[in-house]
Amino acid sequence: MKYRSMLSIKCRINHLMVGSLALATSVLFAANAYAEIQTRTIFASTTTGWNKNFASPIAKYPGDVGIFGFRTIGQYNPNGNVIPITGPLPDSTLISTFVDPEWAERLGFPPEALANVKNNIPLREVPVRIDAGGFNKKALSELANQGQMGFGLASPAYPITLGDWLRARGRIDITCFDHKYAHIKGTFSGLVPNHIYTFREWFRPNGSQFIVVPGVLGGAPASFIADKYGNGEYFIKLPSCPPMSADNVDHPFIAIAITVSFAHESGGLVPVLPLHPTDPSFPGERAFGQLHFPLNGERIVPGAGPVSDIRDWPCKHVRMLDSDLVMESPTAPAIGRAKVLIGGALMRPKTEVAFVRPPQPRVDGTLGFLATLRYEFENDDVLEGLIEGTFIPTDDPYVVKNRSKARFVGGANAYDTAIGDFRLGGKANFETLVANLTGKGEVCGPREDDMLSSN
Amino acid sequence: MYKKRLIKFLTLSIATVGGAIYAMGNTVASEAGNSYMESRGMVATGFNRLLGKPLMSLGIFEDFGFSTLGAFNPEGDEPIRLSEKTDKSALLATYVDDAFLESFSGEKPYIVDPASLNLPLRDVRSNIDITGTNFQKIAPVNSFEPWVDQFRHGQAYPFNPIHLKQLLKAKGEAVIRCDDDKAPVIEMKMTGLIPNRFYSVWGFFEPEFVRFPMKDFGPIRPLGGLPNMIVTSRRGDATFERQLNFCPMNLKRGEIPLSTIFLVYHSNHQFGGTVPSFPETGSFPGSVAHVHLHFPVSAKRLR
Repeated sequence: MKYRSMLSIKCRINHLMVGSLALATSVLFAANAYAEIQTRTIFASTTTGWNKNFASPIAKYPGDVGIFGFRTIGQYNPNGNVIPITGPLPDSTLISTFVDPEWAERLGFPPEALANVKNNIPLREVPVRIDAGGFNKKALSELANQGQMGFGLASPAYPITLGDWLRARGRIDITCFDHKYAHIKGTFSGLVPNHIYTFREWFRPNGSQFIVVPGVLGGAPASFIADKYGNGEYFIKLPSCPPMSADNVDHPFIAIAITVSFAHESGGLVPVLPLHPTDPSFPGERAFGQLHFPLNGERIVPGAGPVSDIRDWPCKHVRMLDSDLVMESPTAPAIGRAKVLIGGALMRPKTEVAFVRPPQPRVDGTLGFLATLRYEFENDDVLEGLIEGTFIPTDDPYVVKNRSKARFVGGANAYDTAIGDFRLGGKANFETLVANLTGKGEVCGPREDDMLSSN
Repeated sequence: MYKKRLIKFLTLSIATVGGAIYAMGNTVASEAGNSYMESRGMVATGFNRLLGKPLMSLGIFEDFGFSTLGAFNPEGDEPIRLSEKTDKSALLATYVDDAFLESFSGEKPYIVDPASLNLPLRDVRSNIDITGTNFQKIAPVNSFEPWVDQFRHGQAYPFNPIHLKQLLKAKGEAVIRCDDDKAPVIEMKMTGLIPNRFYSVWGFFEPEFVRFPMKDFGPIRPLGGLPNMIVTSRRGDATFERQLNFCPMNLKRGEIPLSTIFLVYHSNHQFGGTVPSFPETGSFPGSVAHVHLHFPVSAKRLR
């Protein structure tokens, strides 16, 4: 009897809950019926700065902004000053810090303001604060190569090439409610794994000395961390709506940009501190624009493509069976023809290995080097990679063993989004100037009908 | 009957042992060179502190710790020390513990700006302009009415005041795996953190000898390398996964124990480099960085 009455109470509570839920749903539906909802999806263009895709502007913005833009990455030059990137380069190009003089000029900074900028630092080697005052900075290498108490970078910490940079993809879905407030959902792939990305909203301000002004999209921290595969997502609530069409040229909110920090720091609500009295920083020194979403004006460079999770890409095993590479000198490119087994098919691509950083002695007696590796296949397909290498001395003073890892990103034609990681071995003889290269790994790409299966 | 009693006794014994292991909060297993460890998170209001009391015994550091949170004091300049008697509705505020200043100071004694104390966590100041020297309270992002002013800087939703009750909801679990053929890996899952905000993950190591004060944060390291940051979701969840350069359960010669892992909330929306904050320039654990969760590894739980 007692059980029955309890059951009856429980049923009544359930009915009450179901009733309330139905009422709440009806109210929501009714509210939505009156709410005006607009949606907009924008795919990002990859950028080499802000509103720059190499030399081309990504968009022509309304008013004074026009095609204004600036670069934040350059080509690393082992022999001198950074080389500005003005057009497409091989995907294996090592990229570095670069503060664009155009940025300073258009934002009213005198040229001498850039006198002490630190250009030509490969992005992984951007110095990081290491003390309790934040005064001392040091370039770190991968933690996996450090002692237990050493400071290092989270794995993976491969050198960033232009191919890595341009692999980024992004999409934002904007929902505007009643012209009053908005939700923005961002999804991303191909980002630098484990890194901190920040959303910046860019405005065309009235009465400001600056041509464009960055804000923090949706409020601080407006950031997300890319996962170990380079994927990321973020949801933002905005107290107003951005332009919901490119034709809305009067709207001062003109673009959203995604920047990544290689100094692993946030200086608060602004991306850079060019007027800091003791430690100024500029765009292209610590923070770098990687994706750009134009909101109004005329789009010149289309979206880079859909977001694509690398885990969904089909992969092929690759074995580098042999390659006889002949060097003209110990520092000149080594050229030859390799024997490569890709997914079971034997290929003989032309091969070129060129030092980006020639072998340098390390404290453990080995020699460290950085080199590009390029395979050119008979059908004009190309695979390009960057080798982080170690030469280990042998009993013969001219002969070194090679124990390296290589990372392929990009290339041309069928491989324009391919990616692969390899372990390399072999020997180099600096007396005969002949080297051989062996190794294994896999190459993955978003398309199944690429050369890996068609050749 | 005897059999039944035996089964009951065995069941109870297994449950008791299992319960004891569970109560310790860490589960350790190893097999054929592979080892595995789980550490249940302990909510904290400071480094090795919960409401003023130690959470763990840290080997040679014993019950060393310091608080990084206080209760807002509306009637004075200094926050009220948290204790087990503090009401759960207390508004949390910045608080710099003398124990930190004594243990971690550099060549010169640290000086704490009194204006940086007793600030409710949402009112902690952050740099707002390109001089890097203009620190202001960050208003909620919705406090700007017309969209033309939207580029003014705000803090993201949600920006409700943070009370002790909310802070104490944090939970988490850390799993460390060391496999013979792979690099050691740590995976952490947390819930109940402050939504949409910056956190960072640190390791506190136990060296053979310690000399106080411990300059530059002594044996504290970014766990798994930089970046060691987390951005919590809008629900306050977070995950963190990193490769480690040692196996905490199987130390090699010359390696030292990883005593505890801890999670720091950055109330000023700022962080940088290999240290949790910059006390030499006025940013202290307690004024801008607040320990929220501990995951003991070799440390012994006291609770």
